[in-house]
Amino acid sequence: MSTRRDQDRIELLQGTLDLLILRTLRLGPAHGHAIAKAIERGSDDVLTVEQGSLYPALHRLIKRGWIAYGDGTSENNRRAKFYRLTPKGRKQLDLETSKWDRLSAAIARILRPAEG
Amino acid sequence: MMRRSRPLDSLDEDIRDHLEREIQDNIDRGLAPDEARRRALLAFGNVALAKEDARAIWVRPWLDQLRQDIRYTCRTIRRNPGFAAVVVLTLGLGIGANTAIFSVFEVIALRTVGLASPDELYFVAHGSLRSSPSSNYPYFERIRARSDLFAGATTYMRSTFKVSAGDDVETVRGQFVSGNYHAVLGVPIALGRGFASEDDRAGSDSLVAVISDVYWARKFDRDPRVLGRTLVIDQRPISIVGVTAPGFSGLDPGTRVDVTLPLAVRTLDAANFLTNHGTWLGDAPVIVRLAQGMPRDRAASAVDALFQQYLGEPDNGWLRKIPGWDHVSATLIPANRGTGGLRREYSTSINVLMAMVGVVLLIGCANVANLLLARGTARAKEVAVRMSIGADRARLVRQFLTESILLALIGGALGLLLARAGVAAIAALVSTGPEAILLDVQPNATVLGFTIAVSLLTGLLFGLMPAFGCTRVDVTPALRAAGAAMRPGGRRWSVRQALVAAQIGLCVLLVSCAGLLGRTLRNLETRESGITRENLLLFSVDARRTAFRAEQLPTLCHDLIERLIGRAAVVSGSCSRNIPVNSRGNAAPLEIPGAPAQPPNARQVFTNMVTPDYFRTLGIALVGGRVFDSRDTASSERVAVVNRAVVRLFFGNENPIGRRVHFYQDEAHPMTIVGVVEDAAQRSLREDPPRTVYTPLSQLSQPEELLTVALRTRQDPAALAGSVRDEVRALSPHVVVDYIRTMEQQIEQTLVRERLVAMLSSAFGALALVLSCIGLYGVVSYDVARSVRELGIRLALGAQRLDVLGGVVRGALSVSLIGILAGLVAALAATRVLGTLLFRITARDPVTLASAAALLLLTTLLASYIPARRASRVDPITVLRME
Repeated sequence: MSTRRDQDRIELLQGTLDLLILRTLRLGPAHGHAIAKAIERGSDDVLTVEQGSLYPALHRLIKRGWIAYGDGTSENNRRAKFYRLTPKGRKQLDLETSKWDRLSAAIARILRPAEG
Repeated sequence: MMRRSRPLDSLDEDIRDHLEREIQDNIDRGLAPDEARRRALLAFGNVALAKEDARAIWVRPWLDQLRQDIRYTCRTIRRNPGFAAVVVLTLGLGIGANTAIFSVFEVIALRTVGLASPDELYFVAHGSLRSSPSSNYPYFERIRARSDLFAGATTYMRSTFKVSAGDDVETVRGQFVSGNYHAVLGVPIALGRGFASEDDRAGSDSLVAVISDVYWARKFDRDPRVLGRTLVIDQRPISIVGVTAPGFSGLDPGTRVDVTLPLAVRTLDAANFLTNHGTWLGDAPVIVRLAQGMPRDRAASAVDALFQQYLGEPDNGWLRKIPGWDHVSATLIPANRGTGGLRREYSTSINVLMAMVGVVLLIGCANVANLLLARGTARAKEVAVRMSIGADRARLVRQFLTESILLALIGGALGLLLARAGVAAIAALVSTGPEAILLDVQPNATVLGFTIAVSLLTGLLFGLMPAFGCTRVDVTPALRAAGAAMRPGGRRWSVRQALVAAQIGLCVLLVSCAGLLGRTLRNLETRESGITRENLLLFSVDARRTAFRAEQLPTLCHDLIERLIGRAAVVSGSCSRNIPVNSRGNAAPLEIPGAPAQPPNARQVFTNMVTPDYFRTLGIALVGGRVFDSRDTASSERVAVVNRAVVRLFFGNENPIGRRVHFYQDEAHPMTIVGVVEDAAQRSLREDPPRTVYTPLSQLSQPEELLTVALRTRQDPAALAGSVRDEVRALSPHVVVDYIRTMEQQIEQTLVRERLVAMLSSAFGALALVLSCIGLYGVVSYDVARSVRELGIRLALGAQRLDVLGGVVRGALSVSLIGILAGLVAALAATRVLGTLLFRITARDPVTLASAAALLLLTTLLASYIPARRASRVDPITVLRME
């Protein structure tokens, strides 16, 4: 995995992981390991996902009907469980993304008022 | 690529797969396999925890949270055990009362007879006797022959048997049955066998009996070698061939069948029983089991056709002359719950009691809801904290509900214990006397299910409003108020007031009902019976089916009375055919030659046969003429004594003495009226004394085998019971003395139902009163405690303490008055259902209603006085320093 020192890395906030999973799956169906890797790589390894926490999150999203799953074959011809975004999940992603944008913009304005 | 499977199915596999990919990635980046594996596991974190968390997404929501909520509730209870104790006790009493009454209701109204496929069983019922099936044997045989309609038809006759062991004779309850009884009904047999048709063959020389489980346990201590043992029943050796299983106690709820004999045994005493068309037996029901696939309606109309044909035969034309039987028809009524006598007698009472306990529970629920609301206000801060850190409201509501349901279930458990004691007391109360009702009220699944259902419902009922009310918290002010001086919104206060008003209204209703029923009992107990009830001992002497010759019975009674007058403190004694006050009695139309014609029904009189001292012994005053004396013998002119009611109907202002009368269709035996006596109760205290014609026992055409002896004593009559038995035994070892009781006990026994209903309803009324008092006290105290600061300021500004006290009491009274008014309106509407239960009091009796209202007003004053006094003693200095 990453060689960066631990204090440079940021723990994920509650709920953020769900958002990241949805974002990852927007690019197409993926299996669990691929999702974890995509999140780490996508954030330039700044965000760590304790990979184990991915699974409760996936089940939470399945339960809410935001993602669905099925069996498929991966690149090297191995059987794997693939997750994909549902239309409901896509809507939720848009909603959460715009919420996130407003929140981070608001926080940014407070933290750096001069630049606002 | 999507396939339906359950998400958790392949969780282990998914995670293993994930780890393998990670290890492979690490190896690909040049790490040694061991290190690759270590890093992969490190990156993944706790595998077991991940699995558990993923599973919890699906499983946890209710199971886990339930466990959490229960743990939380237990903590709350531990923190405030007084609160929990009050709630559990309140609910325990409420649920216990409901369980107890339901247990009785279950026996009387719901329980089916313990037989195979009881829904296929029907009684053949006729006309006005529809509710009590009846038959005679030849008619039964015709029904039994219809195998096209019925898989089987059987009949039984209730009876009592004298079982003797040496000198000891015991009367047991039992029945004669047709030989196919056990087979047709599918009676469960625990040991041996049921009857076969050979057992019921007339002239069979080996007589057999089947005994009940209860009798087996009582007499034989459940000894399995009981089969083949011989019982001496009514002087005949009869051997036991079977024992019925527990749970079967015959087809008459409330009675028990200890010994069952074939009808063939009865024919030994009543030879023409099997062929007699000239009687119609009210206590010999015919039960049929419908043939496979036979609709009830078709079978019923076929039975009616058969019955009409039977009535059309010349031998049976007399049946149409029974009053009300001119257009009689036969039908089938369900037998799955047995005969309906007990159900009919008790249905109104038990329904009223069920309604009353339901109301008691409602009052209890209102109390608990109020307590929870008050505590919810105190817990507002806790709720606010939990909501501000992200607990969602549904979760908190569930938490509150879990708590109330848990409390309700604990209350229910307590209720079950209380109910057992209550039910035992009820069963004991109704199980005395010659008409004892035997209630088998062992706890069973139905009752348990009822209790659990009521507990859950109760928990929801009192928990829902507080759960929603208390979680409607505005977070910021609640936190700011630091918990101490929190002021709940005005709305919630009015909910609490409304609950108390409702409680008081329901309480008025219950107390009114209890008052009406209590006064009914008192009216009956103090009703003039025409008999001097003090110092009077009654018992029966029974020579039925004994070696004693019935003709000798009056002589034996005469000797017995003489000996008792000589030795014990007996003033006088007498014999009669009827039991005073509680006689099933005989009635016949009276004919008075020369009097204007009236239909036979309007001329019905009650008949009784007595010895000369009967009137003196019972205290029935002579109005004119003479009572019987030694001149009236079997060979002398037949005489009669009539009561005032007879004179009123038949003679008006004429003098009846010396008039000759006779009973309907009995012209051969005219009687001369020699005396008139005061009216006296015969059948019950409820009805007015019936028109009664007394004839001397000495002029009886057929000997009586069962007489009631009455003894007028100088002191406590109960003390005489022992010497009565000894004297009778000395005169004849065969005659059985039974049911020794004082007249006062006898009257008590005839009022068993009224007493039961009055006692229970006043108990429930008292319980409701206490609960309402607690509820009102709680609300007023809470209100005072809440406004202590305001009171302090007002007192500091010069308000009079008496004004403060008055203000609090007035506040309570205004709530209570609304409740009382509503309760009175409800009582006016609802007490009408008591109708038939009441005696000499109307359902809208103003005195009772006014007393109930006054009682509640008094309760209000009582409940509000203590908190009001506390309010008036608030020390302004202390209060203001609290700030």
